[in-house]
Amino acid sequence: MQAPPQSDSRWLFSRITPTSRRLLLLATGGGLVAGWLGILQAGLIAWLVYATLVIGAEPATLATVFGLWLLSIPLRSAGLSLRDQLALKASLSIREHLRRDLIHDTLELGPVGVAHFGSARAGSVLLDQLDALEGYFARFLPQCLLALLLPLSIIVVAFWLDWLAALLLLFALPLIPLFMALVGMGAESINQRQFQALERLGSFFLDRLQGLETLRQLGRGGETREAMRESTDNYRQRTMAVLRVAFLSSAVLEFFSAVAIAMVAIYVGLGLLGYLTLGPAGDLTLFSGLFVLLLAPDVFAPLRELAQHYHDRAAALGAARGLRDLLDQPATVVARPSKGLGAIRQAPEVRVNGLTVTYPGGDAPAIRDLSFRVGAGSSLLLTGPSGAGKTSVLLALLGLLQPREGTILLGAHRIAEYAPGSIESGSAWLGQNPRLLPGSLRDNILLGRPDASTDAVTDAAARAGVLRFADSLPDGLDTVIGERSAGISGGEAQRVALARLLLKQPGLVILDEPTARLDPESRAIMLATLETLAGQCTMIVASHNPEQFAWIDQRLALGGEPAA
Amino acid sequence: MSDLFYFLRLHGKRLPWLMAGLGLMLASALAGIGLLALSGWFVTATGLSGLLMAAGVAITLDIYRPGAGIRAFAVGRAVTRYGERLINHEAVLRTLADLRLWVLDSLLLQPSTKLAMLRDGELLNRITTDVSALDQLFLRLLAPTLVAILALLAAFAFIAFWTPLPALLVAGLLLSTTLLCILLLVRYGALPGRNLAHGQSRLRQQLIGLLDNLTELRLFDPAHRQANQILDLGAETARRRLQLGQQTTIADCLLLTASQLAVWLMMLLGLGLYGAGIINGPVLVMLVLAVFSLGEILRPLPVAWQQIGRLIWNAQRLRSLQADPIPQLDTTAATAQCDAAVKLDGVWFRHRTGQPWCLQDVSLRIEPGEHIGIMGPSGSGKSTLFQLLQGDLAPCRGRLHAPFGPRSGTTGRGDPPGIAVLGQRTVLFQGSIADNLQLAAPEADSEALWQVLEEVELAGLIDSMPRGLDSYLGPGGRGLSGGQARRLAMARTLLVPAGLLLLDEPAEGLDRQQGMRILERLAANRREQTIIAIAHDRDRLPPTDRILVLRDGSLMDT
Repeated sequence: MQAPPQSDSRWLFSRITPTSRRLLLLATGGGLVAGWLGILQAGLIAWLVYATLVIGAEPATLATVFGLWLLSIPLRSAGLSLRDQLALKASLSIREHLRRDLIHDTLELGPVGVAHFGSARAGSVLLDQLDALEGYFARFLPQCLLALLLPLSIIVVAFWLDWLAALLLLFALPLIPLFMALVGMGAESINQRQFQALERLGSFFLDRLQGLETLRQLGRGGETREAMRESTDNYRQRTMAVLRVAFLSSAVLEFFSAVAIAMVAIYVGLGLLGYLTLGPAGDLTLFSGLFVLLLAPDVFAPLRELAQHYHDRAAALGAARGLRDLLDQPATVVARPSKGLGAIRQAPEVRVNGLTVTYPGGDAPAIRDLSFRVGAGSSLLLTGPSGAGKTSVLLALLGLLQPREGTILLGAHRIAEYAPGSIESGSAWLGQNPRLLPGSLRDNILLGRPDASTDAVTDAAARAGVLRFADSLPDGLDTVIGERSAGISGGEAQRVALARLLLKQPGLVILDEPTARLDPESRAIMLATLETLAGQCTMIVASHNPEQFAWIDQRLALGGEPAA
Repeated sequence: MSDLFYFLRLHGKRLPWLMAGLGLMLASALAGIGLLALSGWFVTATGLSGLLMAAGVAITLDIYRPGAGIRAFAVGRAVTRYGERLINHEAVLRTLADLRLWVLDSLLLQPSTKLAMLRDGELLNRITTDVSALDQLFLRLLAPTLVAILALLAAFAFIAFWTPLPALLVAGLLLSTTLLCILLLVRYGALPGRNLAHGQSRLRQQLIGLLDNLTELRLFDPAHRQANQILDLGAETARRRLQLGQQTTIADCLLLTASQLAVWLMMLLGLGLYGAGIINGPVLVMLVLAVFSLGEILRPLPVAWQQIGRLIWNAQRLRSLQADPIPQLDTTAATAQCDAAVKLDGVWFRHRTGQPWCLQDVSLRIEPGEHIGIMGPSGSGKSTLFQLLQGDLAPCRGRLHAPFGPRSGTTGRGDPPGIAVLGQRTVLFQGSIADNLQLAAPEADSEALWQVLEEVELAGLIDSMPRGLDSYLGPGGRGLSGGQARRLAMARTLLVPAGLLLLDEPAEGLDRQQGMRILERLAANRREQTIIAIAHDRDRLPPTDRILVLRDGSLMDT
């Protein structure tokens, strides 16, 4: 039986680590102590006034009270500092724990799984949505408990002072959530429409900015500006319509807290004058009256603070959805035992038997019942129209796509028998559209063998034709490339990827359309360099330009069954 | 800091809204103080009178006017608070619109290379982050600060009316602590704030690198060094965030202690004044409670000023969008010459001195109506040549003459561009197919649209869609395949009423036969237009009168 799906807020709660839980409890404790000291201070103020004005106490007796009050001041400040600092610490620790899980999961998910989930979406989960959790743990959760405990503490004290005044406050309290709920329900549906409008406006702004170069070439700069102005105006009007309602809920809170204070003041005043004989009003003194008055604003203050943090909760719940979606993605990578076989042999034999592969979310197999054998140190060219499943075969060979049926043997063993990292350490891959990692060209070449000597790097860079363009760059191989390979062309990035492959000296080389999208010069370098690898490693290449690979030992044409 | 002031000045035209919001904010703060202070006065006055009356002294106390005052403050505070929030959000939204238009205006003056970077999303992401940080500059940072200071001054005046010296002490204590806190946060928080923002941006870059390279990393980095690096970076940003939080907490603690001390001080001094007979009991309580409620107004300041380092960083980064605007070419001089040929005369170009030349001594003359093809490997200077022809770049040496009118940018209506460009990357927009096409020619009727769709072999497909030309494309033209999108972009370029057609890898993404067919048709149908097409390969070029080769920045005949 399957457990019922956990709600997002419960899930968020379950992500609190034991250390963070302790921190959060301590933080709440700090807030509670500060709140209680606030009550004490109100009592001391009331008592000082009462003692001087009514009893006519001597200044000497008051000195202890002033001393006590002075003592409570730093304690109260410290309590609030503790609350803020510890809760922030807990929140950050939870966030980094989650980040570790998510990155681990992303790596487990593999390129196929992430592509299925959406690479941009995964990026937004790992960054923005994770950051959206901060306020929930750092502010909302501790305040949640405080907003319950502090008003209750105050009401208890108020009951002891004057139960009728306490009742006045108590009646105002539950009315607040009621009214807020009423107003909130109206705001909810408008809010959703507003959210859609914001998304549309955001996507309109982004869409136009993304194509701004084209718009300018078309001479549409001015029109775009007008359209943008119009849509933001439109958005503003819609937003204000929502806010007029949404702010009502906080106005209700403000109104009730102000009215409750006013009511308490007037009730106490009339009671003190003796105009009210109702209930305990006759027993009111300046001390109890003033004390209750000073407590009245503090009943509502924690709630007001909670209301301010309410958007933290909304943001976190939205983010939780995204985080869970990513964590719940089924793995597409072949699971491998940690005590499996060690590194693959140099230039392994590759045998594929009856391979059928399906992509996540797809029904029709990308490859059906495929068999072939590549001898150790030999090479194979996979050809066929796009959609014939060339890439799928390569992904399956690397264990990145779980076969539905059939077996793949690398050097006489199935992929699932190897330990994680073992196949990878002896093989290399080159795709058609490399995006280099942020860092220098050298960092990128060194990726597979970080301990390689400078000479080895220079040698690989020379063979891959990297030096031909790197020499004219300001810092040579140490030039830092910009975001997403900005600053060098696609062909140049591909040559860096080739140098990385050469430096690693792999036994198994898998190439997916390595010459597509290349300029003739880069293509010539790529083909000549790959040919020098023939015989040294087992090589499997997918390409729809078979004429470029005359030197490859055998060819296999994949059927023209185009995938949707 | 100067960048922050720059964006503040941008707020200037929303001054009436901002002032109205500020006024209401202040009114609501003062109403809150008034409510508690007057209530204190009332309770004490009634308490003392009640005692006297119980002792048989005949006195009268006006309870109606103070009662009405209390109710007025109570309702007034709620109403002004509501109004303040509405007005302030209106102001923020207007500022947001101003900022977005500022971004658009700034970008329209930038060279195409910068605009091309917008497509990758990272620059775009930066811009949205910066804009959303800065649109709250006034509401989150300045307004609470101004209100706090004004409320402090008002409280000072009020207390000074009764007793000047304690007023000076209490207001002085609060004001100096407030300013000290702000100063501390600006002085010591700016750097961690900026570091944090910088760290977050590096984290973003690294993570995107990871997601882009999952296959590569699996094979070349099985030990997950890259992933561990990201986790370290995450831990580092958390440490910086905590450090920033610590500073805020210290400031918060200082301010809270000062506001409690102020109440304590007011009570101590007030009791002395009461003993000396200078103020009476109810006034004493009123003054103490006024100071008591001032604390709440100061509370938001530390968190607001914690943002300062980050805001400065956001402002700098956003401002840098304006960094190197394209050279404004003297187009009037160019159009004055009525020679319709495109002429390049010994043109040299490089982006910066010291860097290798992108183009070396390029001379070329293209007659009106001539079709030429240029072949060259990547990095040979093809795109630089196109940018020069479009007026995005100016030659470092030599003369360039492209007599096809100014390339329109920010100027309102947009003159006919004169040059039609099909960029290497396909860019389509959210909207209908007709919208996308009419960007090139707003007055084009559906007949003209169908005709050009026929030319790029899209008419059949679009005709088969239920809504035809009104079929809706998602952001970036989602909904079409790569090849279809390429052909739609081509159709759009062909609709531009232009004398010069620049085609960059026109057949990119099309299959070989269809690409050739369309390019042949295109060249044959446009004998009156000058066409320059560039491609890696000869067989990806339309049939042309001449083919030139660009290699390492030099132009050669085949």
